[in-house]
Amino acid sequence: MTGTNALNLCRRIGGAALCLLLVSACASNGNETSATPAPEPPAENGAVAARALGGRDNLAFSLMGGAALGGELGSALNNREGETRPAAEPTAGRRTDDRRQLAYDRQSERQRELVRREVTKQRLFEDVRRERLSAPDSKRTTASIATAQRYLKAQGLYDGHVDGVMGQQTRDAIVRYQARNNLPQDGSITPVMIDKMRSAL
Amino acid sequence: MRARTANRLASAAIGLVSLMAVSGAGAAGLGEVYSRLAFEAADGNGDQTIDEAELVADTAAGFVALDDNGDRRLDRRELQEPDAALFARLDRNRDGSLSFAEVLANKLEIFERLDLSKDGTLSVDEVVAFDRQACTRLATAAKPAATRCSY
Repeated sequence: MTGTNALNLCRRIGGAALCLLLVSACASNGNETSATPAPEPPAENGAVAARALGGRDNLAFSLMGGAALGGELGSALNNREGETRPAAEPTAGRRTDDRRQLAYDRQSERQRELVRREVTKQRLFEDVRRERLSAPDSKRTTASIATAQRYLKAQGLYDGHVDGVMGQQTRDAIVRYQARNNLPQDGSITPVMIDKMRSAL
Repeated sequence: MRARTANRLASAAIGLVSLMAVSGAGAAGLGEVYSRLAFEAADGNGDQTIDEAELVADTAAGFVALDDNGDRRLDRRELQEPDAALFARLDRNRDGSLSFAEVLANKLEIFERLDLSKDGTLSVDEVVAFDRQACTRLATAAKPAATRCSY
């Protein structure tokens, strides 16, 4: 079966030259194949030689280090395309399945990544909220005064220390800021103002 | 790709036929014919040398052709029940089948050993010489057709 396949294949891919080569190599060979009676049709010789060259045994042998090369040759001689269509079907189906599996894997990886990002975002948000709620009032105020001082300093309105203490210098700086931004000039800090300062940078 | 291999094989066959005509028919045994055809088929860019990339492509083609169930591993049945010692030597992680990495590692070792000039390529004569020697050494190990090993 393989021999006949290989012979057909040798006709198809190598044309007369390869078959002739196989036949002559076979006929000149010193052992078992030369025992084939000479009068036999050359096609039979060719089949024997093609089997000798293209068998799965040979391919497995060369793949395991019995020969330096032979993969392309073995794959060309062993490919059952043309004669056994049914055998080719499952292969094609298998490839499609592989592709689907890969596409599915990629898709689910993308979704997992999205979920991961969402969870991280959520956790960061929760952390910030918890921190804000749990911080004692005085600490929160100190923090926002310090923030305001930092932003005011960045805008060149304040040149004192960033110490979180609401002193005269800080109050003046805030008034300057409020004046510049057309706000009521009461010298007090609101979270909205800090947000605005942040976005103004 | 397949068509190109086919063309290369066809021209290789013609070349070999003329070679045999010149040197007297029968100078090349079937084993040498195999090695030379295998070389032609593997020489993707046709520069009469095999570089590492061509060796990898050649190995991959053979691997895929043997991997019937498509699990990207070759088990003993797919390898035609090879000699246990040879199989064990290649099966580095001892899981009872050969991965492409395991097969390729062996091939690359052969490549390095053969590449005496260390220029990253193999010539056809180097390949034929290796095949001849490996065939005698491993002939019983992997059961190649007896005719294959006549050089």
